[in-house]
Amino acid sequence: MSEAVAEARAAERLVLAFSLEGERFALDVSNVSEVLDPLPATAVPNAGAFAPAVLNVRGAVVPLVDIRQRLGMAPAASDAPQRLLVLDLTVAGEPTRVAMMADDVESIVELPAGAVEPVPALGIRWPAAFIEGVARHRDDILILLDQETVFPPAAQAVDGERGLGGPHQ
Amino acid sequence: ATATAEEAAPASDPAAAAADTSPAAKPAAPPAAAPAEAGAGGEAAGQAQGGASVRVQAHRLDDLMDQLGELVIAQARLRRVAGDLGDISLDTAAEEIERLVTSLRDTTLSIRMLPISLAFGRFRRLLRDLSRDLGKDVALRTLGGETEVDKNVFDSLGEPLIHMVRNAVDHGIEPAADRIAAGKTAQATVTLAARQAGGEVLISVSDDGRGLDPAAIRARAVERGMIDAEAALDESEIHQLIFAPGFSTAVTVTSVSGRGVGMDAVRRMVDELRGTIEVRSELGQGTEVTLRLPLTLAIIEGLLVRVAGSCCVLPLSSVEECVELPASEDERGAGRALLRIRDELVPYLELDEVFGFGREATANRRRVVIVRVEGRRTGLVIDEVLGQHQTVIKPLSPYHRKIEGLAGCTILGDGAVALILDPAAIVKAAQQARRLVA
Repeated sequence: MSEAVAEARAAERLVLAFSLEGERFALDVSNVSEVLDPLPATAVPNAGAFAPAVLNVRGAVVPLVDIRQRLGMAPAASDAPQRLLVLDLTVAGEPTRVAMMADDVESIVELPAGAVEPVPALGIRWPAAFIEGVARHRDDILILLDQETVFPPAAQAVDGERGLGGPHQ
Repeated sequence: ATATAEEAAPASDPAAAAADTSPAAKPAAPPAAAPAEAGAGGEAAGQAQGGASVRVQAHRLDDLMDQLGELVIAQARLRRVAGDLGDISLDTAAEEIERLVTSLRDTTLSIRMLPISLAFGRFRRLLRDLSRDLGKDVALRTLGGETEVDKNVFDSLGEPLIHMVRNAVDHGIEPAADRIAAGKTAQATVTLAARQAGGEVLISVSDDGRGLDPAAIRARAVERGMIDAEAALDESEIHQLIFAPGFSTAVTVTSVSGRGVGMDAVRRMVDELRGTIEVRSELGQGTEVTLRLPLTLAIIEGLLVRVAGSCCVLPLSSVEECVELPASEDERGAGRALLRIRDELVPYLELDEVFGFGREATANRRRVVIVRVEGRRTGLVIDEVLGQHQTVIKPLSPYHRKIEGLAGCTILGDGAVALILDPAAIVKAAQQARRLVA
């Protein structure tokens, strides 16, 4: 699947690079609405670890999602500096504004055509279903998240806390 | 005023109803069939006051409501800021704006209100058809048709009411011979009644038929594996069983061979509107099913409470009273959770436990908010009552929509997000959990 996607999007792409646990990830710039400093969040009871809270972003109530949880990373240290990415996504078929925590937001990166390569089967420790591909950028590697699979609530909304033991698809 | 005249005549004189129905039913049908047309609301209000009316597209009313919601939130923020600054002239202005926003809200909500007689109108014909098909002589009585409900509530109301009326005629009312044998009049009566109580509208369908047979319902529920044979259920719990999906009242209660219409459809709609259903029935005397629905869906009066560091809103319409949780109860183990309030034992749930929040380590006396769900009182233990607020209900995102017990969220004056709780869903979930354990 990743191969097909990579080829279909052969044109030049703008992505926003951010870091989680020292790794560099990226998402398409077109989905990013703004980047904010952390806001006070309201915990949602029984919501599960992936979308644990809601917050007020300029008068709209926005769910906070924790990508670390989905990628199987440890929760961020509570005193670590964080940035908030506000994304406009389509979730469960409806346009939804979502806020996502990142350790740091770096910069907008221009990826030339063909720069995104499929994920090597063994080269990555995160669930492959959530990764669209990898791209080389300035002697480093940029991991492109697959926003079609990494954001939907379905995987855990159905059976609460569990359901993300590993990559099912 | 024509709508009320139409229904007043048959109500006062059932015999005249038959002659009166055909001309009355026809003009009544079109507005009831197209309740989505917001113009109907304007017309009805206009008629009531004898003034002119304006037809408006429904979505404009929705837009108006959305904008009003934003205004209410902004006004709450203003009040907060004014309170913090303590400037007298700012306070005065903020108070004036609050007063204006409140009256603007009331006016806007009233524009969206439709008299329930528009929904009752179509039942005259439905009842006539039903009586003919089932060979039963049934008169329709309507009460409180002038009661008004919000357009959205109105739109969702038609379908469940049809289920309920059908159910009453098909299963509730016995054949004429049985009625006479039981010392009743040969002609049965189905009553549609509406009235307003606080922030809720109560709509009931009642019949003077044979009533629900708790033993038969119980036997059927046991047979279907819905409850345990030894389960201790009181009458109201047994009555609630008829709303379970696929529970056919046709076979269980009455053995009438009708196409039993699932009352679970009624329950689903009522749940969606955050309402509750109450059933009262006496064997041999009749059954009354009452829907308690919120008057409006967009803005509610809410009680702001604190649960383990989070602010939550309980709809004021379901709150009966607040009491202090006696310290002796608070320290007790989990063996029982009952409070004695004026000679009545009220079960309670600890919201921080229900929500999986850690217990707050403070010396504060905790409080219990008593809510009424399906006619029964239940206490919800919270940490603090923060006050009463006008609350705009914002829907939850797909991430949180399926969580039981949450009706939505809102933004408080200080910008924080507060969750709006659904006491009925919380109590029901707790009951189900208990049944699974038992």
